[in-house]
Amino acid sequence: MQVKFGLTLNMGTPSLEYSNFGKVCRFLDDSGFSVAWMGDEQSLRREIYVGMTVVALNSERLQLNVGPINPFTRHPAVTASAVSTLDELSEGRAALTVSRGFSNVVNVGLKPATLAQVEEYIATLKALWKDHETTFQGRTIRLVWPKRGVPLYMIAEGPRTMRLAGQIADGVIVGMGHSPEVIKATQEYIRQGAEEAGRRLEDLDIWWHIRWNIAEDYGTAVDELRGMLASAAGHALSYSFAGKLVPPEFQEPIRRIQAMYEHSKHGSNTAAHTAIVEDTPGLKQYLAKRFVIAGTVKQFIEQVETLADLGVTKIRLGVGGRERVGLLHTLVQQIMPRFQ
Amino acid sequence: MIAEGPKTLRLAGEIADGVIVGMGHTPEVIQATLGYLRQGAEQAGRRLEDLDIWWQTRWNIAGDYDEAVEGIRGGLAAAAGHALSRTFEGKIVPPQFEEPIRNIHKAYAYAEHGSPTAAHTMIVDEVPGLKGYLAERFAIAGTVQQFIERVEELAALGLTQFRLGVGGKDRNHQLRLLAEKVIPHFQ
Repeated sequence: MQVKFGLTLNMGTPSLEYSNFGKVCRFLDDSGFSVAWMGDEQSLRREIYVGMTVVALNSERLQLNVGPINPFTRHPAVTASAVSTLDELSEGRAALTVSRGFSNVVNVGLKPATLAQVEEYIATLKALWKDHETTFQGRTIRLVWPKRGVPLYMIAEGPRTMRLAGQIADGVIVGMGHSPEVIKATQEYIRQGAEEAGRRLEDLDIWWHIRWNIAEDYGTAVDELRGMLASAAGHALSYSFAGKLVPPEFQEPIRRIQAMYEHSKHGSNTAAHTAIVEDTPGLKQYLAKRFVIAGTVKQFIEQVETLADLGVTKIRLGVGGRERVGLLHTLVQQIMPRFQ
Repeated sequence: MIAEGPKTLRLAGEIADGVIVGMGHTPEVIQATLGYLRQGAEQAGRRLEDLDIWWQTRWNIAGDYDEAVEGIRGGLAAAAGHALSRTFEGKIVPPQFEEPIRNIHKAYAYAEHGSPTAAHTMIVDEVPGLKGYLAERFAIAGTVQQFIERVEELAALGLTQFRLGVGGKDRNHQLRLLAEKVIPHFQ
């Protein structure tokens, strides 16, 4: 059974330092990964267009998917120009993912965008690429040079966003989790949106965002990811629980994680909001089952097989455990060959 | 900072580590530029010499001076369009050119910034003496020999760091001429 893998990269972090980053990109390109994303996190991480340029110059096949970005911290004309530059440089391999924003907006004193603002931003990008001039927030804006646009993806973690993505996006990164009932609901929401726009579910390039880790046993693998489990609860399950299939007993602790979420410690294993994941009986296990592929190599393969049977055949690997590059080698050598 | 007028030059003198000055480089404009920067620097308890100053200039090397200037018409209109925009106060613009330069501002098509064929560029051609004036103020142009002489003149007035803006067509050829025939004179 064929399963495609893409992953998120952060240039300049300890395991992906500058001196090694180009080499890692070559390795990923040669190893059959399909997509590289770089999430826009100006306050916590390095600049993504600089990073993506390095990826572009060190790969031939990878799709270069910029994002998730948010509608606020870069003007749409700046984004369109930047992504189109990357697209020219990489001979047509660029794409863009837009989300409502999370730490990247909170860390500059803003709130995540509304869905309407995401929709407006995407419509503006499309209009700039098609007509070279459009109106954005009451002002005429221009982008004269790109010959074409790039595929537009949305991050969707809830029913309303999924329906909108089904309507307007070329692809979608779904982040509501991947337990069987969540998979079914996700596909249904996207289908509803697609059909409203006279399209089919199959017209969308759907990637499933999954946290992952490989370790000597399942417990260790999950434990190392607890910061990311808290982050999944913190945003994938934020706003409303409507249509998100959250068991009643976990709704209150998850609300507490969201209420005290420290955006300057997004993803941290030691943040106070992460401690709630540990302290609530059964919560860590639940979040791990819903949001993570983890365990030994054998357990990892079995989980991917189960997912593929349910239609999850494009997996976007989020932040992995502590030894990122080492884990990627394990993934490439022992897991990916099973799914080619 | 980029600074094209007295207020910005003074602010740069106060707060920046370096400044790209774009008000032009006729002798009186150079003197005024350095004066504004010095005022700002001294207000902040610094000296003019503490700033890394780069002079923005348009440039072109061609068979003769006129051809070289003609090749950067769009750049000259752009210089008039922003370096001399907002107010003329302290910018040393000859009275006879104030009105046509205002017309360039009004007609300025930002979608055609720097274009040799934009309507706002045509004004540069149509007003007697304007193209020559803008070229003298904002460009280094001519044959290789003329280019070198002009840089020597400017260096004698204290301009020793040039930021080359838009050049003529065939950019690579121009850069090669610059690298092989001009820059060695100044090393």
